[in-house]
Amino acid sequence: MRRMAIFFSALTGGMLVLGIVENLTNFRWGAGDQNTFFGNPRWVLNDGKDVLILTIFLAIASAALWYLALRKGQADQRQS
Amino acid sequence: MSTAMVLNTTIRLSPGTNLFFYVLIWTVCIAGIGIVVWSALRSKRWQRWTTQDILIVAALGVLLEVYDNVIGDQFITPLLGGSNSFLHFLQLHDLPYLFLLMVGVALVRKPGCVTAMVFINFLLAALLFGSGHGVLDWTDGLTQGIFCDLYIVARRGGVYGPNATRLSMVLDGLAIGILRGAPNALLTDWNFDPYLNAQFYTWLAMWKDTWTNGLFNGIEGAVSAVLAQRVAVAVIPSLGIGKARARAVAADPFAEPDQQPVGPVIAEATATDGPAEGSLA
Repeated sequence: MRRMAIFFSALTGGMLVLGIVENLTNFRWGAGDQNTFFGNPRWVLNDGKDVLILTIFLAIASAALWYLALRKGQADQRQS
Repeated sequence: MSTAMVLNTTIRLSPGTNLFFYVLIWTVCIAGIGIVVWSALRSKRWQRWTTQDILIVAALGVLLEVYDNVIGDQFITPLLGGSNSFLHFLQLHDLPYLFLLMVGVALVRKPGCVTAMVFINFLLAALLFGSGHGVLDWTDGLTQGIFCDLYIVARRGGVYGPNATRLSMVLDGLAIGILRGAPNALLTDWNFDPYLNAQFYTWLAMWKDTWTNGLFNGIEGAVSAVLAQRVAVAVIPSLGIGKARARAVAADPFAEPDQQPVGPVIAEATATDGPAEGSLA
């Protein structure tokens, strides 16, 4: 579980960097890649903002996995 | 009318007929969810879902979305030559997706896990990119997962179960991949796109989308299955995938009866193999 948590954390870091870069460069905006948040036509996001929102979800998932990994570690310690 | 002409005919059903099929698909999805929920909550073949299962499914659902719409769309698909290339025709961009899905199945192994992961992926995509019709589009997500879960129910705990072998894992991966890809592609071309998006397909396009998605997703699921089991065991070493069969193979035939491991496979093996050499029976 710890390995999975580490993988998720590393991916979150990578996604954060990617999101910041794509947001600053307005990635593919000119090519028409514009995303409506929840289908709302008045809230149009570029790819970078989408990646950053997804990064938040990924960070929450990482936190959940760290919670599981640490809980498992404590349970193992109690057993030994 | 020749076969070629029939194949090139665009499928245009009346709105009433489309509505009938659309309601029918929803009915099948709801019935499927009912069966899966009953199996997950009431059936004695599976343990109840734990907090750990829910968190793993949620995390992998997010990961599927990260792959599907960021890594896959921005990096893998362009590397494979774009969405009109031969490699895209082979659905090669779906290989990591199927691998992650199979890891989730191997980690949780309970009815509902595939629909839950795919649906989280679907909802996040709808949040970030707008699905167009809200709840009406949910059938698109549901039909990718519900048939896989019905297969898991039909296997009665055999998917990544204690008696799983390499062959059974590969066959399970094949079935889950086919059931993830084919029904959704068929129903999208037959009903969802024509009815909800006024986008029509020919019979040939529908057939091509169905068989390519089904076959290649199936192959990718089969290829990923054993690797997914290894990853799952690395993540949670206490998983019992294939343990009963491994114990049966490793059992000492000359051991005293009280030292033999107890399990259904051992019981079967000793019952069918006959008395051991030197025994009185």
